[in-house]
Amino acid sequence: MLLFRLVNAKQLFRRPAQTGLCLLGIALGVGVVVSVDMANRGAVAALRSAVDAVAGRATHQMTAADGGLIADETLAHVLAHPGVQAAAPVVDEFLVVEALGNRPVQVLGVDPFLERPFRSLTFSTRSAETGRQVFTDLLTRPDGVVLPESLAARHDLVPENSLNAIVGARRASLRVIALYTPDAPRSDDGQPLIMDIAAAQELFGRSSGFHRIDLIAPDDAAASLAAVLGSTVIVERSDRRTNRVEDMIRSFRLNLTALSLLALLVGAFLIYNTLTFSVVQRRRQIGILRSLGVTRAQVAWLFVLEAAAFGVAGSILGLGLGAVLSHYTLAAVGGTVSSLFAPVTAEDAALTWPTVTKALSLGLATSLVAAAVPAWEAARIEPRIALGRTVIDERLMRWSPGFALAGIVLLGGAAVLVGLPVPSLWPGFLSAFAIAVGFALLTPTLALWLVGVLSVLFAGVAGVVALLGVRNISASFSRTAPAIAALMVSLAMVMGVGLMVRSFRLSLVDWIGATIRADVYVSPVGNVAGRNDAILPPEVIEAVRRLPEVEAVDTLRRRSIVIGGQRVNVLSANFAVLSNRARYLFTAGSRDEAIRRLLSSDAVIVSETFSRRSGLTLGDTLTLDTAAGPATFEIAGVYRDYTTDGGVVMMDRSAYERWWQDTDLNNAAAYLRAGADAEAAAAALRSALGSRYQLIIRSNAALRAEILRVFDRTFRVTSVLQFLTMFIAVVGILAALLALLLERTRELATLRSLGMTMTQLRGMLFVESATMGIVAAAVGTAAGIALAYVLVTVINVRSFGWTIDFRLSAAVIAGAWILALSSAMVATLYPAWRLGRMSLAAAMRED
Amino acid sequence: MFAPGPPERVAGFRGDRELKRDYVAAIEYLDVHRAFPEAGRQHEALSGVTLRVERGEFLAIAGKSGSGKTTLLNLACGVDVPTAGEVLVDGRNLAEMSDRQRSLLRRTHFGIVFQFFNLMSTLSVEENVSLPAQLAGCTVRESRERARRLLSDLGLSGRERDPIDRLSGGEQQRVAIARALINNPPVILADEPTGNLDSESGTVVLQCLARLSREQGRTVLMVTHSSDALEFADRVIHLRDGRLIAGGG
Ligand SMILES: Nc1ncnc2c1ncn2[C@@H]1O[C@H](COP(=O)(O)OP(=O)(O)O)[C@@H](O)[C@H]1O
Ligand SMILES: [Mg+2]
Repeated sequence: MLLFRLVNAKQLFRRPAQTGLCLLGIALGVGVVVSVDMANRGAVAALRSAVDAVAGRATHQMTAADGGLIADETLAHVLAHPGVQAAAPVVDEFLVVEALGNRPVQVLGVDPFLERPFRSLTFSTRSAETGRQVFTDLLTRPDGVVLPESLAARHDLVPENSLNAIVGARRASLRVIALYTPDAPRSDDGQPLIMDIAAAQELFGRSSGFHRIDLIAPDDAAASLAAVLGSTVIVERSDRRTNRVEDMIRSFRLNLTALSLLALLVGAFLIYNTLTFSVVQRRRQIGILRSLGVTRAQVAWLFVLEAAAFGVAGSILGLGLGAVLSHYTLAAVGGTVSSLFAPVTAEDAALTWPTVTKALSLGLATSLVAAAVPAWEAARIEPRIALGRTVIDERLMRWSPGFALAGIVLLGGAAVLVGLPVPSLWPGFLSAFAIAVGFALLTPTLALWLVGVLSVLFAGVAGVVALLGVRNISASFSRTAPAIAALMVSLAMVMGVGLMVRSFRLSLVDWIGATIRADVYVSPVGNVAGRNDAILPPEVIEAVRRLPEVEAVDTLRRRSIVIGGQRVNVLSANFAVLSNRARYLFTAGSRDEAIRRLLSSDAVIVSETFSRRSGLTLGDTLTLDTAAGPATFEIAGVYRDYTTDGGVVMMDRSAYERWWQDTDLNNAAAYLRAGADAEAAAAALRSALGSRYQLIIRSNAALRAEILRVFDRTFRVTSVLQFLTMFIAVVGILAALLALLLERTRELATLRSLGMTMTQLRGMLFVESATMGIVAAAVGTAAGIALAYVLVTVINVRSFGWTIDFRLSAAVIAGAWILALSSAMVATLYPAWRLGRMSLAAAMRED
Repeated sequence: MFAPGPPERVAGFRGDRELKRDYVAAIEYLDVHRAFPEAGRQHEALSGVTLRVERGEFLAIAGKSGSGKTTLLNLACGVDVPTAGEVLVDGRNLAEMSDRQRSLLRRTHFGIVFQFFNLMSTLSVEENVSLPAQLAGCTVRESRERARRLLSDLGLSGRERDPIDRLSGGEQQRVAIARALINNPPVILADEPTGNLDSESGTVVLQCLARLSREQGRTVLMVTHSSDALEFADRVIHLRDGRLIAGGG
């Protein structure tokens, strides 16, 4: 250890900025990985608790196959079925409560006695009542609701407060009769209001029907129950439901993890940079040690040890940083999960041992891999006093054509992987990785080439100062080339993700333009994904039709059916109204022909997600279980749909009503006469209907804005990651420049003593770092476009099943260039400032 | 090791040249001190040096290693600043100049030659020489022409495009002299210019410097270890432990 103290320890403290930047780099890399990991876990936990809060202790859940209600008499069958230990019906509704911020909140209507085996709730009331008494109160007071305590606390509500609510067609007054705390702490949004089931049915204007029946039963009993009840209900294990939810966000999590690992790559570069720098700095010392009998292996060990020290210290810092960052990434991830899948409020996740272990081993492994080349270089130092500069720069230059070749091979491999016709995400991730590494390997050659071109240019025109700037890049190639490559990878990531999001957004805007064509949209509150029972009262639709400025009204009915074990949405619309108004975007089949067939025969159009999942496309036939028995439909077209990642089968209303005998409607869309004002019409409808019904009435512009708002919220997490990656890249390039400057202190002092002003010196540094930035941005642009292509055409399609048109956005690319050049500029500020403060006389004495 | 010459030659001027003392001195040190912190205490590299360097004079500074010779040169061109006392260049106090003004002064007023040449390894011979001219705002073309002329004067024609590491030590030092001369400065500062050369190359370099003073009337301030080098100087002063011991006219 004397050796380590002799060679390494002193160096670390002599160069605090250098050491600090290296630690910061690793800490940031590890921090991003940790925070994404924690955010992922937090989001999953929030989702799971939202599902659990609904499921309670049920082993199984029974729902109606059509996404509607289960008939009351089914409950008797269930309770009587052998093997079923407990069963409880649930009405699951939404309610707008003034005192709870006027937002829709979930209400569960439960049977207090049947429900008891499913939830153990702790109640608090004004008088010292027991749980049993609360249940009795629920039965005897139809306006009574029980509120989750945290929600009540947030809105300053206590038992016996009364609540004004808007329920369907009328206002209702409710009374808080107790507060409850769930048996396990859960996120707020997972906690519903609870009331008596009969009261809930009455409140929501239904005399019968449940949304689901919770069961406690062994699997075989549940299976036989399902068999007895037939295809009208679906019985599902509760944990399957949870797993399905987790499946939904798995590919999303995978995407995030892949992005976060790129951040660590930049951290690895910083270790490499710091160690190479220390090898250069300590050449003479190592030469002396070698002549004193220290072996090559011992020298290599010194640097491996140093890397390990950096790795461990940086990872520990990174853990702390990650825990702090996770607060923000979790908010972003939670936002994404809420917009994509289900509303959740994620609570900060705690740092757990698996995360700690993962962070430490990742940090350490990355550091050791990054240490390999510098340690090898150090071990090669001959046992004499090494005066000359390192030969690795030259060697790297000689090797760069070989690297380039390897890079081209990797890029070829990426192209092959992209073409593989498999549904798995792995080829996509592998090819993204191959693109990043392949372009990184090409970078040295391209950098040398650009330095050559700029040298010729500057030698003739801009003069020696600029020339010095660019030539410095090739003179310290073992330091500059990796710095450029690291910046390039960060830029490629920023551009790749940016272009993907941009392409997605532009596709979405196109889709909105084609699909969201009506002027005013009316839907009931509670009309959320997977719920088809929120019905628009017929008088509301009448009121819309009667509005003088309305020219035509399209209505939508949604129902779920099960095809091959998967729940699929069956939508029906008035294609006679739509035919010359909305333009669905067809990926197979022609629009006119499809609409003609929809109106004239038993034909459907299907979403591309359905087509991809089922393998059925234009011209195929599809058999659906209708109310009148199985019916065969011809697929007249495949259209683009971004509303859900579940499949959609769409037909005309006439066909739907014929096969299902169902006249309920979920939404209405009004088309106004030319020149009518949509906002005014929406306002008129709101004032006519708003006080009596629980409706969401939006103008076209408002709905479009809302869709884009949800989209932007979904992708906020990627912006957070992009920002972090760029930040790490700036730290990386700053560290590289600082190292290069320290190494060249004497040379720079010489320039200053020859009469170079600080301004000229800054100019030279800027030429140097801007050249590095330009190379990184140029290669990064190519890599970013390739990455975006893979993200758009492979990863995204396989994650969500949506086709996105690949678009190149000049704004995204220009943004990345500006970022590259400005970070190059920022990175020179500190080194130049340090140099300005340094005594020239002292600098000239440096060896 | 340094062997002092006869006192009368060391202390006085050579009879063959008349130097005018009534002019403002090229460089004037007035009770100059320079202290460096060392092991917690202040160590004086120069303690109370007063020295006039006349225009056109070839002055040699002799002294043991660590006696303060380099510090003295550094103070002349504003690379370093005194802790006490004043350094005047053409009568102007360096302490009253900004960093930028001192940079401009170094660029146009001084040519500096170092013991280890300090050429830029990434630049060619010609580019190295033209560097200070371009720093001074000279065009690429013009600076290149001046560099070529100087290089051929110094016997380096044909080597203009060579990389620096292809040159011998003597050649490199001549490139450094060409670089020092490119902006036609009135004062040349040379810090042990022959310290890293064999005696033959050293003589060539010394002849060059002498010519700069004799034929071109430049002031030359040369730090040296070697007694041979002293032969070329008009005047020699000795430094010991930061004090002038002889010749400090
Ligand atoms: N920048 C500096 N920092 C600390 N000490 C210095 C510095 N420059 C010179 N010295 C000290 O000042 C003394 C004189 O140095 P120098 O002028 O370089 O001597 P010489 O050139 O005669 O060998 C020496 O003791 C040296 O260690
Ligand atoms: Mg010296």
